[in-house]
Amino acid sequence: MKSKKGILFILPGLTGVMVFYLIPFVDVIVRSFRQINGKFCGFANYRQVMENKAFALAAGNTVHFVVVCLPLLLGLSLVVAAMLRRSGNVAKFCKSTYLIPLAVPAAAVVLLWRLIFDSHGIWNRLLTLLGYNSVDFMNTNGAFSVLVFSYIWKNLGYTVVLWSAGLSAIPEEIYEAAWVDGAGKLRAFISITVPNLKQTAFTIVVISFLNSFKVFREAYLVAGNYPQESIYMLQHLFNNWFRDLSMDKMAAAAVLLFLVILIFVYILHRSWEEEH
Amino acid sequence: MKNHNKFISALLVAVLMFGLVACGSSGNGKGEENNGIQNTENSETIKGRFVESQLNLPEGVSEILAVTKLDDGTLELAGSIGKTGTDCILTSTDEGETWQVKELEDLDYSYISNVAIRNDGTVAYMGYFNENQEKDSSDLPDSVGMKLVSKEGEVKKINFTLPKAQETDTEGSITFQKIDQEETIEGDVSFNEDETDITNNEESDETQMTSTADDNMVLQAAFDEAGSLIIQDLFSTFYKLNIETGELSELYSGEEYIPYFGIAGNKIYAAAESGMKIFSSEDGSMSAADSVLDEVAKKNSESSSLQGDFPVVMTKGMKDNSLVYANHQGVFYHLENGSVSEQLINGELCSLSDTTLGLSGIVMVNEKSYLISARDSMGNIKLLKYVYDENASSVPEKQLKVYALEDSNLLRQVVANFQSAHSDTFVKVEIGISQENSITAEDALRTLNTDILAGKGPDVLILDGMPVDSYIEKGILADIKGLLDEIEASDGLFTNIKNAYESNGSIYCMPCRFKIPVIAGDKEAVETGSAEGLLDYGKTIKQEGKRVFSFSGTTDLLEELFQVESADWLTGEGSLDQSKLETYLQTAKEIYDLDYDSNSEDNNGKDSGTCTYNILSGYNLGTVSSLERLMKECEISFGTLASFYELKDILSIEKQLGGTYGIFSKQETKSFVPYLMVGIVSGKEEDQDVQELVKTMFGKESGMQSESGFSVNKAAYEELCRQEIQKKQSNEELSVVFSTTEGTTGGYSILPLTQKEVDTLTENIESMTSPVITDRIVQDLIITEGSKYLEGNQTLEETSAAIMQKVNLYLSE
Repeated sequence: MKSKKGILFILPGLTGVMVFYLIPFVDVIVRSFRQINGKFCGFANYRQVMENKAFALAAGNTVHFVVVCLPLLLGLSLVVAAMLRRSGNVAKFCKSTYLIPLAVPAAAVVLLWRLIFDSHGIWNRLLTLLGYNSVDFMNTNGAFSVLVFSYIWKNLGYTVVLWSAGLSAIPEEIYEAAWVDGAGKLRAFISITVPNLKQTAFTIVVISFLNSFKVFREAYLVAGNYPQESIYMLQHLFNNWFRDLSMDKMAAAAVLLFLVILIFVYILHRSWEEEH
Repeated sequence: MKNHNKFISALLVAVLMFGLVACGSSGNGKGEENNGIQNTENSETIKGRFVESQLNLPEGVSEILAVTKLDDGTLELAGSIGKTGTDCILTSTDEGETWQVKELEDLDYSYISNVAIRNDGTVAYMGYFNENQEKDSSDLPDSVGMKLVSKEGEVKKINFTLPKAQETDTEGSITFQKIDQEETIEGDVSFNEDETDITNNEESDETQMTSTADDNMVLQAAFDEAGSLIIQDLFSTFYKLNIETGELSELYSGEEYIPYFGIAGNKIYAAAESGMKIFSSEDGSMSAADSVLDEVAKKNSESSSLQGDFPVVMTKGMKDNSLVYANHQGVFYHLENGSVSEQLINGELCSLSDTTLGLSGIVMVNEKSYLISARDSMGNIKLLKYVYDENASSVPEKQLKVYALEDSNLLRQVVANFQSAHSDTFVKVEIGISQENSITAEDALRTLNTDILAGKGPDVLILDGMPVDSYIEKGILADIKGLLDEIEASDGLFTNIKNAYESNGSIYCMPCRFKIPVIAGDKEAVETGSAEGLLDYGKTIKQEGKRVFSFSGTTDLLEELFQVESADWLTGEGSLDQSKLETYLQTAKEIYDLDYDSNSEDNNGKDSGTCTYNILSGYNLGTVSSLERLMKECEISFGTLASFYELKDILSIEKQLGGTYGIFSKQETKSFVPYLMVGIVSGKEEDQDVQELVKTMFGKESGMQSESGFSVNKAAYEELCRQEIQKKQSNEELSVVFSTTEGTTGGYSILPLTQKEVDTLTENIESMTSPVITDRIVQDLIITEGSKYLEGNQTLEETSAAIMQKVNLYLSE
């Protein structure tokens, strides 16, 4: 009876998810096997996508971005959360401050980018004053560094809050016992904090991984449909395919991306489960 | 308690479900505003609408100066007839079906500025009459006059004097300043080359240049219901003119410029940019503002033309406090201070949607019949009649949808042509980017693509600015070769243009119009023919402090050269030819540096770097202008040629300067600039109405109209050639007067074309083989990066590398 009542309550939400996500996704899978005119074409779209140079570039850049950003973000935010844990009232203030970047609209972030990283921006002025050559960040491989910086700046606070929630769930008695046994701060961190955060880590990794795709907004607003090569992401490609009515390729690429994310999350989930 | 909990649970679930189901939008998502306009013709089941027809006027009538309905129900029209343009008055007692013509005696005027008809049939002609130029008469100051012609044909002259005008020229701008007749300007007087007074006013630093014999003039005149003549002068001051005595009494004077007005009953509706000024024609007392009419005035605030056409024409409705007004959206009925205007006639269902149609007057014959006088873009007059047919469906059952990224007068004209000939079919024109919605082209394309995929796409696409190759690849466009072959068989098409779009025996799109890249200058400049040759020649004639070329900035220069150079840049492997790209950039840079210093901090010659898409703009006149050469602002002008008028203009000036014009192209590829590229959406090609619409677009009648490019229809082109040569034979000339920023004035006559000049143009057109690259993404990428190079912000190698990287990425998608 209780479970039936429960189903009734989740039904509206579930209906929404099905109507706006699941059913359209099934449609995408179906479209990935058809041409624009509806004619069935088997795996031709997948072959086209795999052979497409733009897709290869975009996918490579996206993987590169995730591989660089995720560990950086997780590590940095964990260190900050651990430091804030011991800081009392100051921590409360800092946590709020760290969340501000998340509230800043993408368009405002883009303005900031231009002010700081443009070839005549503040950063290049500083470099010139220090005797270095200026760097045109947005038209060289430096654009990738700017993107990474922007992603970490925007998501650090949110991740810190999530880590803090995980940290606060670890009983203080374990640390006290460790100190009594002579463990130092680093030892306590490695042997107590990290293992107890694995459950939280799984959630944070998945969320951060998905957030990494949202960095497209800033890149698009600054550099348009065709940015510097190193920041040309999968969403740029999807955006451009949409404009050109290449829905068949887009559907195939979306299904491939889904499979990759699914495999990644599954592996993560299994490795967490095994450890437990 | 359990039952209570169950009940609450069920109620909550029901509320949530209701919320989900209820959250749906039935709107079209395109954010249409109606601005207080109710469309009473929006139901397919409702019968009854006004049907348009064109009234036949007696042969030879060439002008409609005014038209009105008299108190006795007769329609009266003042116009001109015959080759000599004799003034005449036409009357009709059968609602315009037949007309009686009465030619007037010579009114002896040098210029007529306005004509108004009173409700008793008296016609007032205002202008400059030849008697006024007798300077020795103290009763006849140098001002406008008026002649009244009664219904019986008696002519009476009335003199009146408007306050004088003074033209002031301060730092290159020309403004008008009202002065009293007693005011004098003291100071030294000297003359410039053309003997114009130059007076230095000791009280200010301004140098005022006055020219004698420039009077105030009547901008517009009309009679009110009581028979009083209301006139508006150059300063937007309104007067009531006593037609017996010539006495003026001021009704309204404001700071704001008023381009036009209308009279309904005894109320004057003056359209200013800030809104509609409503005041009484009896005593000038202001009425309360009307928000609906304010919006009408704001949206239609452009000036009336010298030919007497207005953006909005007005007349009184059935009730005393009502107004009937017409514009390109249709005919509307408005009650004073009402919250809405009722749309009587939907402009989209008739010729009113043609934005090149100049409206000059509206008459309410009765509640179910209206007349609108108008002039089309070729100068042909039209008297359109709208009669309510209660059996006609309110919206034609057959509907076609045409989609274009940007609006254009030519498209509206073509659609109006089709609608006139097919009143049972409604063509809805959907525009992707407009001033109201301010969305980007990409967003508009995404919306279009969504509609196409949902099966709600248009029938006909105007492909300017769209990813044509992608649409062809996806099978979105149908093969229209069969249709084009039919048109070629009946009228003929420029085969070279048609062949440029044929691929594997099919044609998926074709432009209705095209423009030609040309150079205007000395014979040596024109003979260089190519950009590199032009540059070399330009270096030899460069003088310190003087510009050689006519472009206005980096984007302008890059766009003009793009139209010459780009036709053969795309390689077979889906990439750009880098060497050709670099040659183009280098040549552009050298041309730019010849006239501008890219190291200078001065912004002169620099652009923001964003592509303005002038090539694909709906405002599609040519860009070459010999006038800048005549005004000594440059030595060589290059750009695109889009009409016979522009060709005449160039040739007339070049004859004066001893220069000429020629095709601007590469040696190996002569390119043309396509405009209004038409394609049919796949699946709709069998629809007869769609075929008819496309045939109309490529047809002779559409080809004869407008000046946005030369028509691909050979019959239209040849007819226009014939008309131009006929003008030569009848010695028709137009005069143009201009003034420079230095304050000098000049002029020239626009001479008709000779047979030889027409033949040369035809040869040039037939020699063109390839269209320029019309892909807006490629254009934007090249011109944006190219601007940085021209301004000295990056090197050629960097620019070339950036362009190649981005364009290759785009092409590889």
